[in-house]
Amino acid sequence: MSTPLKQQFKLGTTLFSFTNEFWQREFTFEQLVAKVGELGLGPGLEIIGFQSIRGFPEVSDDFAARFRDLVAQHKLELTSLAINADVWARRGGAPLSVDESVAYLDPQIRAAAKLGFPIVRSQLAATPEVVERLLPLVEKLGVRMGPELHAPWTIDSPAIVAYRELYERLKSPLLGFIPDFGSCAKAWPAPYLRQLREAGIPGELLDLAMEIWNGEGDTQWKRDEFTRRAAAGKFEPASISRLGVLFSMLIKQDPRVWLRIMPQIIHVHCKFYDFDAEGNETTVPYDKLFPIFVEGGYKGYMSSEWEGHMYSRGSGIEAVQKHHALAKRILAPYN
Amino acid sequence: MDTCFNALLLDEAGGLRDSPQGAEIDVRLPWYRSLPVSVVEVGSLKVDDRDVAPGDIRFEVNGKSFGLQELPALSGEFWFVLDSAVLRLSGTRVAPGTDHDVELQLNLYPPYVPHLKWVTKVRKTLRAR
Repeated sequence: MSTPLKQQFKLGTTLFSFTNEFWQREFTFEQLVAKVGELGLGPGLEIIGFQSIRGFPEVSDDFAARFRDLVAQHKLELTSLAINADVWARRGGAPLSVDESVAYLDPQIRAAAKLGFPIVRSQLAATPEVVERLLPLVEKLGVRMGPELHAPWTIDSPAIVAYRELYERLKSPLLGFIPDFGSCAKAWPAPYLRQLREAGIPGELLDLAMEIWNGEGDTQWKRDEFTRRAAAGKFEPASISRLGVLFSMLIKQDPRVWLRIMPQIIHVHCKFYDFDAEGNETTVPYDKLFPIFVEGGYKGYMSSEWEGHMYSRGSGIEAVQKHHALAKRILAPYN
Repeated sequence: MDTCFNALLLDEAGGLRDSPQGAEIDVRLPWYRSLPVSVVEVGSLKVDDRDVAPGDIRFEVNGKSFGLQELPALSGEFWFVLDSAVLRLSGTRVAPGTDHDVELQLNLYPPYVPHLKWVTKVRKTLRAR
């Protein structure tokens, strides 16, 4: 059956997916960029400044020139440079002030422009006040900027509502949002849970975590509630913190919430983990999410973002190949 | 957990060396990106089941050497994600060719995530060079 809806967005990859390959020194940064091109995992290419570039945010003219050549050689299209709002960098000390946060992000945004990225992925740790202060810089450079909307926040969490109010006031086409699909998960990744069990996390603690995660309630409250009840149950702090991380990686949220902010979405992180025998992703409902972004008329890029390095030494390259195959299958009716 | 971070935090291929300034242990950063050394904490270190006192450990990266108590303030000193840092144990010598059980707990506080303490604990038998 034909449909009048057409896919207007493009696929891509973030090199975050290849953390295992890079971290084990199996492939260099340049080789991984080439892989994205050779294996058809673009056209979009996203990188993380503090992962891929030694000395970041300093980027030499020579590095920038070689990078641009490499991207052109492999016919890739630069999407987003992920930058970091490291506001809690002073351990045990005060978080960065607004002035310090601005000064910390400024050179990272300049690095993005120098490398040719049209977008920077920022983080909610940079407050709306910081963003407003950086607006003149992004306007001067012509770079778009937006925080990643990541678990445990829903689009109605106070931190995100504050951004939505800022955007409503500033009305700048350069400011937007970057959803991470880990924030509309339907389940925890089975291989992760297996690994946790094998690592000695007690079954009762896993059951408690699943019960709270699957139940009703605010997503940030769930993490605190799990920590509270687990501590009351006298479980080991190391086990509690290991499971607590999952509440900040994945939350449940209706995939249709993105339609409410669709015009402000400038980029997307397709977080994924694991596939069943038919090639369907088991934790994130791509069968719903991709059509919703077609319906919403989204025109940007989708970075495939595998986070399997958290529980596996497996190949991120193979994982992204599977994710692209799934995306093409789901999107076929819209092409 | 069968992850790179756990498997390779310590390096059995040459990651323990003797030197006149004390034993050297190579350590990888168990995170996907470079971090300021201010958020790196040596939680505990045992060599052959004996605790090594924090005051006897130097943390070395980028050709610089720091006492562990100096680390929290070093928010501008980055540990690149592909580099090995060195823990230098001033009071410990290891004869080349001998095997030693090294147990390290390394804690990270990723500076863009509030309240996250990322614990990696690994025990390995390393042959000294």
